[in-house]
Amino acid sequence: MATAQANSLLNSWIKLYRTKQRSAVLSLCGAGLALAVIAVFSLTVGSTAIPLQDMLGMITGVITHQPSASAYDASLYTILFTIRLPRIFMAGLVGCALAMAGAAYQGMFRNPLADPYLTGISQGAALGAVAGFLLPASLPVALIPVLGFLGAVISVIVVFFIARTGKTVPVTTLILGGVAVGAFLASFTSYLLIVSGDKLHGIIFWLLGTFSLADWSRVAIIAPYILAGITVLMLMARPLNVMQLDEEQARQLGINVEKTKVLILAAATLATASAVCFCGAIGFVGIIIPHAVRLILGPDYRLLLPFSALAGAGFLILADTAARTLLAPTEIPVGVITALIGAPFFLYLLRQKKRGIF
Amino acid sequence: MPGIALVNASFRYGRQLILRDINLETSAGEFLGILGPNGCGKSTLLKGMSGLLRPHRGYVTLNGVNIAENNHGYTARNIALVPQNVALPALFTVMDIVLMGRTPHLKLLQYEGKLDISIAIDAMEATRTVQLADKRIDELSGGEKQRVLIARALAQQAGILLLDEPTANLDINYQAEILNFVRQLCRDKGLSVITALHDLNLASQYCDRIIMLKDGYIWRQGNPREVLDAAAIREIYGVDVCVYPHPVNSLPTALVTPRDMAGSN
Repeated sequence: MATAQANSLLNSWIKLYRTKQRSAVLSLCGAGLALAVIAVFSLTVGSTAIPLQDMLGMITGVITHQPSASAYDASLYTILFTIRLPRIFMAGLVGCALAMAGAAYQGMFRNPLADPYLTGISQGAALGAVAGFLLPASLPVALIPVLGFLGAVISVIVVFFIARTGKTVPVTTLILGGVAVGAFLASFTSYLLIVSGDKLHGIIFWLLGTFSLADWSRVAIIAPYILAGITVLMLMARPLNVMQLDEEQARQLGINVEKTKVLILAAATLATASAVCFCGAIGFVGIIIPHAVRLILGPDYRLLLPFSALAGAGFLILADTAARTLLAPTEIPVGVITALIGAPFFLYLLRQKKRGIF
Repeated sequence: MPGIALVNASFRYGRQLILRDINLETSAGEFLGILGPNGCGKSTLLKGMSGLLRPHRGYVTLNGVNIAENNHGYTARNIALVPQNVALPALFTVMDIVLMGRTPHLKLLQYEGKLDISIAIDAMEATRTVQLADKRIDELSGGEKQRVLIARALAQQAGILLLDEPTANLDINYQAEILNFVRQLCRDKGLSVITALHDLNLASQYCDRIIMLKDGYIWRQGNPREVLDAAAIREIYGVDVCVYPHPVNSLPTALVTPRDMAGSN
């Protein structure tokens, strides 16, 4: 009798876990589909509307290698393939990177306020890029993202070595080190802004975050780094689950905590630095998307990471669509939009589930 | 040489020396108790034995190999630790937490399977937490959390079980139940159990061997009859007690008397 009961209990739990896994796969497909719909919608709207039929026709034409481009307006073709499509890819990649890095940091630092910029990376990138803007005009413009990327990576490395004691890197020291180094770097940036003169507008635009510079070559440059970064983060899903306990328990459960922290830090830095170097430090995605996903799906990182990636991509694509259409032909920096819609949406979610979110 | 061995091991936090020159070996099927007042290093000793804290002198071996050279997964498949007073993240369910005990047995991308769920349910049944399985951690009482942590350690299926004050938050029925169960694991499955305890009488009743810590070293060790006498308890805890044989099994039982009633009669 007792064993029969135990068996039925076991079976019901096994069934529950199977259902959970199956519904996770299904909803992941659903979220991917939703992202595709968002991307298609965003391709059609803009200063020049492209009818859905024409757009699908042009895209299938390209995919199937039919030289049917002539059937469509050449300017529509240009807008679609050399302006909008790379821009949407860029926004999607950056959204993936920021949302996943934010999710990973929130787990690793066990801190709900953690975002991808916690380690001084955005201030480092800003200083590098602003310095790039102010270089003599004889130097190539391509130096701006390079300097931004270097500034970002170097500031994280500095913070890492400041925080390291012996063989361990305590996360609280890492946070505080990030804040201090960030503030130090920001003071230089502020000074540079004051002396920037007529370049101020462009710099502010970059600092707030924008995809207006997106093109295929830039997408191709950052895509491998971002994909590598998010792949490593994805592999850290189980260690991140266990590390939400605390580091001692995680270690006792067989996780190599220090190695995991270094891997997460490196992967998140790579992805985030690539995301910000062309587009500026777009705020809010990295903090609200993971929380929103956590509120809906719970704390399992095996769900949290992929869904954050898709949601982050979708959110930034939509935000960028708003940024380029709301006041067209004037463009709003996308960072303004993310905070503008992100904050109220997040507050709404918080009100919905008051039982504690972390 | 299976089990944990500490050889001239000294432990410190920062510059403060907590334990010095500890020599200790565990053996399969033995219930080992660690006694001593608060702050004497019981938890430190358990952390040192589990490999969480490295000795600054001497060394610790697991199954004959220096524990520092093992990978974390191997250590966690051999040693499970039930910590004391830890915070658990609120959003996880009891089942989630217990299944985390399976971590060292799973590959990086492997999902928990039938076997893991069945082991988790067995562990929860043993600790009477199975009816809580789908509850969230923040809905549990302190004692329930304690039993969930024990279930997680059991799900690790390690041959060595370290417990840090496992009965601290529990009512007397659960104290007895947990210790009975753990001792049964010792007897039936040959588990090696090492537990820090603050209750002298529970230690006397359940332990095969008791280690008494004082000023950072092992002051005395032996079976309960050998080590638990009024003089030893006075030396270690600085309190006067009467030690009587337990009416059922004649094991030493310590009784406290209020100071103003001492010597009356």
